[in-house]
Amino acid sequence: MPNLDHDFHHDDFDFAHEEGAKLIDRTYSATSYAKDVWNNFKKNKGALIGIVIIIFIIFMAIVGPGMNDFTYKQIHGGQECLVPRVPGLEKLGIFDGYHNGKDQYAEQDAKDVYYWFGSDTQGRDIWTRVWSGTRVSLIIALAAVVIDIVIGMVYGLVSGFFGGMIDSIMQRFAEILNGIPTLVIVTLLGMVLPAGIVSIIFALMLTGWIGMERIARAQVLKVKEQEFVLSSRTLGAGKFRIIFSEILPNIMGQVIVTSMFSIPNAIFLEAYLSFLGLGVPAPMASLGSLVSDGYKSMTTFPHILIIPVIVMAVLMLCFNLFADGLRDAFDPKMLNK
Amino acid sequence: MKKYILQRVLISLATLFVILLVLFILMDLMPGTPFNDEKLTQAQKDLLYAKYGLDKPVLTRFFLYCKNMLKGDLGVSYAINKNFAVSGMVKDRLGISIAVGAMAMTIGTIAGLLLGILAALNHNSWIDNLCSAISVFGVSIPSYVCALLLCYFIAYRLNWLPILYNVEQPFISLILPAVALSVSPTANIARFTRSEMIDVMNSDYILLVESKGVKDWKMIIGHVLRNTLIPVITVMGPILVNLLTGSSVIEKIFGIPGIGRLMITAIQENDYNVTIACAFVYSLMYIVTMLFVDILYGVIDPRIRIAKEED
Amino acid sequence: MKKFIALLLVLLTLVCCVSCGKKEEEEENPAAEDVVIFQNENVRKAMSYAIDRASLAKSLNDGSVAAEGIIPFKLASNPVTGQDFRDEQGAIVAYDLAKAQEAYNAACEELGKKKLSINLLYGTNEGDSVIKAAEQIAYYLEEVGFEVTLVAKQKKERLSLMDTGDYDVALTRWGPDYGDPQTYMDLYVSYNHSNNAGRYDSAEYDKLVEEAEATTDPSERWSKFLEAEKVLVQKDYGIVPVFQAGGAMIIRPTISGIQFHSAAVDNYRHIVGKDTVTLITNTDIVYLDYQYATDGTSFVAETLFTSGLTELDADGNWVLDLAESYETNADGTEYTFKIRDDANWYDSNGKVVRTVTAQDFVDAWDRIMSEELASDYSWWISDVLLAKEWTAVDEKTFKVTLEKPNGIFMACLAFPSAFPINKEFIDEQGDQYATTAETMLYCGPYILKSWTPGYSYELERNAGYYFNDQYDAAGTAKKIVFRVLEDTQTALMEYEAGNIDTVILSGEQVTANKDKEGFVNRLQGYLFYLSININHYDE
Repeated sequence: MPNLDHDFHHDDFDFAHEEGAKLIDRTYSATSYAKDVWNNFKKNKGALIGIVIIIFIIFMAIVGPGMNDFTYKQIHGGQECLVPRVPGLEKLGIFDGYHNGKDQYAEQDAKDVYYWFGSDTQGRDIWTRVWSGTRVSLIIALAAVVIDIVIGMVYGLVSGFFGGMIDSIMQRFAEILNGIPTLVIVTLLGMVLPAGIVSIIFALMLTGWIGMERIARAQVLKVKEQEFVLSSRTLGAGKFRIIFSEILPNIMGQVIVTSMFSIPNAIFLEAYLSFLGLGVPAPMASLGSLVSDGYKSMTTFPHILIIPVIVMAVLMLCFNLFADGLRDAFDPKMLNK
Repeated sequence: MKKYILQRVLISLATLFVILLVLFILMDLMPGTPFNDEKLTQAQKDLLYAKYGLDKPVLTRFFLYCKNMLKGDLGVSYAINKNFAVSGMVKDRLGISIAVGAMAMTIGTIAGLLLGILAALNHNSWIDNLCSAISVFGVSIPSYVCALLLCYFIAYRLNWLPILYNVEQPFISLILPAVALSVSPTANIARFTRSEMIDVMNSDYILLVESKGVKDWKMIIGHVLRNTLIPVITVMGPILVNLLTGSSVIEKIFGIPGIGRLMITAIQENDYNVTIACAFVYSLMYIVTMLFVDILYGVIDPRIRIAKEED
Repeated sequence: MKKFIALLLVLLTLVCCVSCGKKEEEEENPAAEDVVIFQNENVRKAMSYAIDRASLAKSLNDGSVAAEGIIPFKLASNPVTGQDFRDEQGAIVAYDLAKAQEAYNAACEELGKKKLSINLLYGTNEGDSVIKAAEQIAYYLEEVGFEVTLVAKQKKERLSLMDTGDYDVALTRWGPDYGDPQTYMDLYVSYNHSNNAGRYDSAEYDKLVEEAEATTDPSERWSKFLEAEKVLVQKDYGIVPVFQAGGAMIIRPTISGIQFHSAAVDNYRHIVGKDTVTLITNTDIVYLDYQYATDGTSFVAETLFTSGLTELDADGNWVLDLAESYETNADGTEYTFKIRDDANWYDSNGKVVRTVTAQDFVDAWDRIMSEELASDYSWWISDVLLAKEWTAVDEKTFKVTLEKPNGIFMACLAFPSAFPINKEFIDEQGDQYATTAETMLYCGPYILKSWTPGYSYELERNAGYYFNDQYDAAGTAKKIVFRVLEDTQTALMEYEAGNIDTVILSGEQVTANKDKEGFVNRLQGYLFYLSININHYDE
């Protein structure tokens, strides 16, 4: 029997809200996909720092070489292998031109000269060479990412999505291309192409995207059997629409992150190419060739190596923060948070 | 399944055949000859060409080569160690390169997985950022710089390990080269593991597992890991092959007589037989590894198996 | 279906691009628009005066010296006075920016151009000094007003381009084969189409060289060569010598006795100071068969485990080795050698196989000259030794008849191409001959004990060698190990750890290490010069 002994007074209940308060409908303005992504991106502090530093480096790459009187190819006999010396900081005891306790600049008759990043084994100013080299490397990095995505990702997408005979042929072709040593491809390219950035792009087009396409293909295989793809198909979406509207956004994150990792490979490939006669011709520098030249002085004058390595590492770190931010921004699951 | 494997093996053989043919044709297009271009006259070079049968047309030489290959004869070297059997040269050096590569792969996989898992489990904390930074540095600093750094500080200054490779202490003297070689794979694997694991941990079925009350870390990792590792294995395949076929710079720095150095020298000296043998070995290993990975992939991931059967 | 076709088209375009890129026969021509500018003497003169050779050599930092002409230092000595060719001739090239500028301006006027452009071809895998030198040369030429584009190629391609005349100016080198100016002079006669890449064509030069080689008077020969060099370099600016290569090394102070010869094979037979010496080599042996080898490393090893009629001493003069004594006829065209009775062939275990006979020399010289061997050095017998007949008079007497008297004959017998062979052994071994330490026979002071290709090779003293007691008395090393190391930085670490006894330094390491005990700069014979494409563009 229900317990009806308890009496309820009307005092027992209070309105939860203010009486008379109006209930206002909160409406959100419609944002486009791009704006959503941008808002998401802004929330990621790391990514923002990354972008800022990248912009700073690009600025330095444009302006840096002009900041002092040296050019990237001027050779100063007798002023080789000088350690960095900066006018203001030398009073603080760092960057004062002392190597192993001896004042290099005084010994080599260069008391009035200041090399902010030091000079290399032929007496060229490293500051100018590093920044003009960064220019070249940034272009290469951009080319590498674009090629990776345009060729590698699309190749993997198409191959993975269609499966069967198409997949088989495309994979075999990739295997054949992979089986030819890079040095052979590059030597043959060198016989028909003039040196320069175009040759690097060609070389990248022939060799740089195979890693990416395997990853893209693996991702596609994973995604393509999921229910939302099935539902799209049921609703009558055509094949290409499925590929580019359904599958692509879901693998984009992984693809972007992976493509960032192909940048150092591209930069080192350029250094390798310039050794073989392609790539940017000497005496023009690129970060990759600065690093491989600096390596030879690593045990004697490490500054020649360390400076380009630091610039490259910082650049890579920022690209990665940026890519991570981009990936989190693009992730459909995160868009609604 | 068996039919699929058989099909793939046959296709692989065909691919290898095509690769061999392409290599043969490309070798012909390379500039210069295998002989001492600086000091020989054209007449002398023609004589040498005739002696080694290099004046015959490409296809004839190709079929002759294939015939000999089936007998195990990979030709002789023209420039590096004259008249040496190429099969002997490749065999000796391949063993050493595989040893270094296997060590590097082991170190790289363990370190990479640990780093990646650590980063993913602490997503967006300072540990994550640190691991990411380590992984980025690992990729942006070239292997030869790492190698020399390691050599200088650990072998030369601290004397913990030998500076160069030597045959009397094969294992110990290969540790430094293996570590130097493993830096890049570690970074790649760590990065990939981290992003895959984050993806998996954000997915619905893990939410389900958690909401079912499975708080035990081991269980979560068991579920999460299995799903993470699947695409990671795809990445590890090509990395493994690259490591096993030797890195020419590491071999040069540590004085290791490996196959990486051999191939580069062979291409530069136009030693056709050696180049083709090395490139062939590399392709063989690559195709076998890819086949293995594809099959493994299909076996582990039930979604893919279903898809395949539908086809 | 449509999608499939679209896909196929994409694939096909990809394949087309790839195959077009690779199989195009159209070769990029790295020559500037009109190569003809190099026919103008002022252009070549400007190039020659523009280069500051001393500064360039100094910045290379490895013992390289500025070239004073095309003949390197320490190559050959005057047959009468004994003075070095280079010292006698003096410097016939100079650095003079004013003269260079003047010549450049004159050239511009004569050719009707505002600026002259040059493509400078160089090799990237020929050593760091080549790359540095090329960059420096480009810089110096640009200071005068030229517009220089550096064209970097691998060595094989560079040689191939020079062969076909597809270049403007190339930084190339020549290493002397023997200690006589002829090894350089022969290169630039107008009909030498193998080495005269620029097709320098001077009737005066040709005549001088031909006369020098025809005459039997050594003095006349010498002065003709002196004149010819002047014509080539100073008068016509046919080529522009740049620098002579050096080599910086550190040799452990406790060992000594390594003989460096810039115009012959280095001699490592007399190293004293340690029982087991570990030496560095930056290339591996290419071929143990000394009648086939062409590289310095192979030759060095072969002079250790094989002997010839003569050997070179520390000053580069010849002394008798396998030959106990010799006689010549009045005009020096016949030499008769008596081979030592105690000279034997040994196998890799040190066991005597049989004695060395005169027939061994006959067989050897026949074999190296034979067409079927197609040896790179067959011309050593015919063109350097100038031998036209050789016979075994009896078991131990070997007679050689020369085409004409040859001042360098005795010294050139010390070169491995003139060493004897054991024909039965070679026939017995067939294809296996000279592939391992066990498939060789030895008659030198050392025996090759083992060879791990790409890694190291070891030699041990042969107790049966006829001078072995003298070697023991001098304290010569009992065992020599050569380690193949290419990276100079880790090699230096290995040296400082005490594991190897010599190390080769790169230019970058010299500044920091030149005060170390045992540091030595050795001069090599390689002369680097600019080959100018004067007439080679219509083939």
